[in-house]
Amino acid sequence: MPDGSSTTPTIPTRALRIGVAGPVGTGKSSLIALLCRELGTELSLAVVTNDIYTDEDARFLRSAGVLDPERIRAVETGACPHTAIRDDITQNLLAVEDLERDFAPVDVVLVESGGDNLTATFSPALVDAQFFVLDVAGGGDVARKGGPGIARADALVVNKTDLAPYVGVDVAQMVADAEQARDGRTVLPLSRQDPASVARVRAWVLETLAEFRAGRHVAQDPGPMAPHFHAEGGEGHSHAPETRETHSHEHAHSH
Amino acid sequence: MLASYLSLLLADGRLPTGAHTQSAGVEPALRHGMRVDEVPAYVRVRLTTVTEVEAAAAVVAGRLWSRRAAGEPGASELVDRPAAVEALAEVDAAWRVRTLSDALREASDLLGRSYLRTAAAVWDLTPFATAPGPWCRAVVLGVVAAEAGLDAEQTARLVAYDDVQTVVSAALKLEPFDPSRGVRWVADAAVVVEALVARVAGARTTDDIPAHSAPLVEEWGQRHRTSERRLFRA
Repeated sequence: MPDGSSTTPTIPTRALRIGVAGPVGTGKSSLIALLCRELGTELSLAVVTNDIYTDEDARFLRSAGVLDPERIRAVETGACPHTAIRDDITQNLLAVEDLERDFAPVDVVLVESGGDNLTATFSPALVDAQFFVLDVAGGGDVARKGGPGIARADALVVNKTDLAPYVGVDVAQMVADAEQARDGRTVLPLSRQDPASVARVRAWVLETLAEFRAGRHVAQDPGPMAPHFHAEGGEGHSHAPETRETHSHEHAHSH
Repeated sequence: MLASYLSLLLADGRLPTGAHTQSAGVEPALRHGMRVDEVPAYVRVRLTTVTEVEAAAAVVAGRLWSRRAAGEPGASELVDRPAAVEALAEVDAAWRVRTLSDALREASDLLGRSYLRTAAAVWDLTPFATAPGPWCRAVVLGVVAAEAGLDAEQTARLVAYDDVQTVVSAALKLEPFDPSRGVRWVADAAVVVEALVARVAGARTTDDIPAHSAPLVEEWGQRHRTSERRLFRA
């Protein structure tokens, strides 16, 4: 039977599955390479890539030499990277399960989305937690504009902070905007050249893994839908988007 | 009949089986110089060769599965679970020896797994669902269709329709054109599809599965596996 356990708070025996989403060129593959370098010796890792052109990201990661190439697999998306991580996640689930079986025991499987757009997020039926990656070169106002991944992914990475002086972005302001857009959820400014920032990302993964193993981690859907508000009682409150079946798909193509 | 409704469900491109990652060979065909206006001819070639083989295998697998469920006379040996799976394994092997390209066989196995994963959550498909695979897509589709109550004609039509839609919708993504043109191609294929249905609906044993092949489709499929920058699995 399909694995529905990602939403049930029982003690899991499989790997923690972490999604990495975000626009093209913000550094999703680099983040995965960095995590492999930082955690590869203490954890058993595996990677699934979902590039638009099937194997670009997989080849980048293999050539980075940070992980046994056998542990990196590419999934075809048929020009629908959004569908492959959200609506019809079948091929990704099979790839994740194959890696977990072939290299058992695996601690963490990282699933990289094909850089689609600002609204693409992972289904909680595919990943337990997800990063959304932005970079300072995309402009300081992107974080403020929000969107499902920016506002509600488990962790928002503001990447390439070392480039800020060259692109006229105030990192502190961008992070503050992001924190405001995220209601206090985790924001991780990151530069590969700043060891302290790398250590925070590393620590976040280890903490999430510990929570997951303790059965305390519940996968959240950032949605493409904004959380809705109830007017009754005078005070609007948002709740977890349980109404996923009504979500709008901005490119509602059939296959 | 519930089967008419369920046949629509099984034919729906929105069924989560990973079908959006497949092009039924049209991506390598276009890459090797086939023109978009040749897509209808490409569809006809498939329907009279590789797709007919697949549809016939699905029909035989479906018959085996429904005989087992109905406990029909002569099916007693199939009620025995290992025997039912063994008989399906023969159908699987029959499809496999008729498909030269291992790249295409692997693509079919992956689709079979995906389809079975979804269907096994909806219907009780033991002992088939728990038997070690891989199962080609034709056998999985035949079993699922039979479980949903589809008859041989509906099963063959399901396989054929799915193939036509996979080709046309992938072509639309690769070389965009007015989508209504693609819908017309699918509608126009009805005659060829119904002829296929008539040819394979009576298939009862693996001997009834034709051994047509389309060498260029197989060769392109084989090359596609190692081609860079592809969008579709096969």
